[in-house]
Amino acid sequence: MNSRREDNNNSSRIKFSRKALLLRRIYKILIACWRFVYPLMLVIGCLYLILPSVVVILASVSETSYVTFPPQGISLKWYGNFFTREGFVKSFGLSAGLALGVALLAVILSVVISILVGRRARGMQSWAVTLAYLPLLLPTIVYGPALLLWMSRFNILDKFWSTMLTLGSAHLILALPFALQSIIVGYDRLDPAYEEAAIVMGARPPTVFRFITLPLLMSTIVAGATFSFLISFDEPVVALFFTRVDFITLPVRIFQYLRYKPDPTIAAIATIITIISMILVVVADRLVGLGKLMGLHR
Amino acid sequence: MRIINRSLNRLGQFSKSRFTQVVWIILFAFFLIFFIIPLVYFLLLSFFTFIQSGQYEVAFTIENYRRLVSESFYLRVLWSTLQLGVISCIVCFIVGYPLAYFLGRSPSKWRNLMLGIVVASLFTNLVVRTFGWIVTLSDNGLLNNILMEIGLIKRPLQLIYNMTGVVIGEAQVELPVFVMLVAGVIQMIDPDLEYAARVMGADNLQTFFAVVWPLSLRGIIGGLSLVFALSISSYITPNFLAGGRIIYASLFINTLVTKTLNYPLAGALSAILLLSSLGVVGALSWVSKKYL
Repeated sequence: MNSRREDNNNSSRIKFSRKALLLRRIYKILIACWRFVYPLMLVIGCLYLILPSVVVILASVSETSYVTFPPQGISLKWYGNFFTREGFVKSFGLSAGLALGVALLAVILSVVISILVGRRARGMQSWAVTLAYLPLLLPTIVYGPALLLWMSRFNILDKFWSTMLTLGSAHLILALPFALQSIIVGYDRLDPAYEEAAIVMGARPPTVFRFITLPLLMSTIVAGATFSFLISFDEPVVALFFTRVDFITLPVRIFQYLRYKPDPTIAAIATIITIISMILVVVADRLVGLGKLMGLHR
Repeated sequence: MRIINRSLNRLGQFSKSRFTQVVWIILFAFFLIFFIIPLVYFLLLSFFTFIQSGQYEVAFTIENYRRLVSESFYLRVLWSTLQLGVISCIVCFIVGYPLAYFLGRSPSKWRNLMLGIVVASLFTNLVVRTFGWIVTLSDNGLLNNILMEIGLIKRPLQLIYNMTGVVIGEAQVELPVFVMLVAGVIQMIDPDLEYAARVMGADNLQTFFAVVWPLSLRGIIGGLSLVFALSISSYITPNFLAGGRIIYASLFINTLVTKTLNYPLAGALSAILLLSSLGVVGALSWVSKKYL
């Protein structure tokens, strides 16, 4: 009886340890594989992210009139088309002007909101901030028609400037969360001791704002402006609904062009836009640091 | 001392003055006119009766909603939209989580390069990216050329104008958002917790599943709900990469508004889209707050 139980115990222990050994071996192999798989996944992820931009840049210098891969011969002739094809320069100017206005207003509004809300938002004021963040979740494909149908009730969309104002307001609402985010974060990080010191020395609130708060916030303000500019400059969907013969923003122009004849001209323009965006992103990075802006520290 | 106190009080009162109230009212009016009223108006339209192109009657009806959830064509539209949202989430998670972990945790010198790539792709024009995918994925595009050059495939793969193409394009659009969100959450995890797990004898994998994974779950859920909300309502990518062969809710709203001029039906479809994206984000954030 006794010996049998012992036997049982022994055999089960052997079985168990064999299984454990096997599991352990598989586990080791998996870990060893992971050492190669993980960097591979990272590389694939990064390639996946930059692939479309790289392809566009390569396609823009191709010799042939249709977009092929790999490009046959290198030429910069498609970049010339940007200046000669009707409308592209005009659209570029329109988009840039619109985006500049939006960036300026978004920054002013964000500074005003973050100063008024102050460092501790509560009650009505935090409610207002929530309202300003709401457009983050708003699908542009719903917002575009909604604004178009509402505004067309007043018959004001037949003029260039009223269209510009309406689209500008829409872009402002879409860009505000981003500007507000960077400026509120900047204002939160600002040590109140600087402002208090100025007050102690007898400065009135407007003076404090002009000489203490504003200079200290400047880098976040420029970053917020950069983001607002890019949001408006790149926004195609709402702009599509407000397109008129004399009012075609650059993304909409590319959108329309892409529908009939996707030749390397589009790639050249796309490259120009991408380079502008990248320059702005690098500027924002130098001023504030991308990680910080995106909520990462270090 | 009294002067200092009074001045500090004045700074506090600065935010309660008449000027401040005026600023708040202007801001609120701006949001009301350009944001809230248009949306409410559009949603109200969805309850009106459609007569013919561009005309509707102010008579309350739920006919528009009934059509959307009963006729098979509209159901197919909703189904493919849902599919797009779910598959984009899966792709974003699989591709994005390692990137986010690396961004949030690695001390490597490559980290800055990767941060640059992620942010650069976040701020690349949407139409430009879509164009890039058209060039990459089409029958004689980059990917098929490379694969045929290597000899992996004989005939070009159909990578565009179907679900595959749309998902590839859409997931790339949402990926940077997901990565940034989750990387922020992972970075907030206290490294001491991981050291504690190590001290207790856990290896890399055990540390990951005992510490990082459960603590980053909330960020993952938040990121995925955002990816879902953004991808079911995206317009540009499906417009080009589906090539008109699959109809998504966003494409259909555009057709209804600009071609058939059936505003009530467009309003109803928009309401469904808006509610499902807000609903998913709200419900998932509630769940993750309650149970995580």
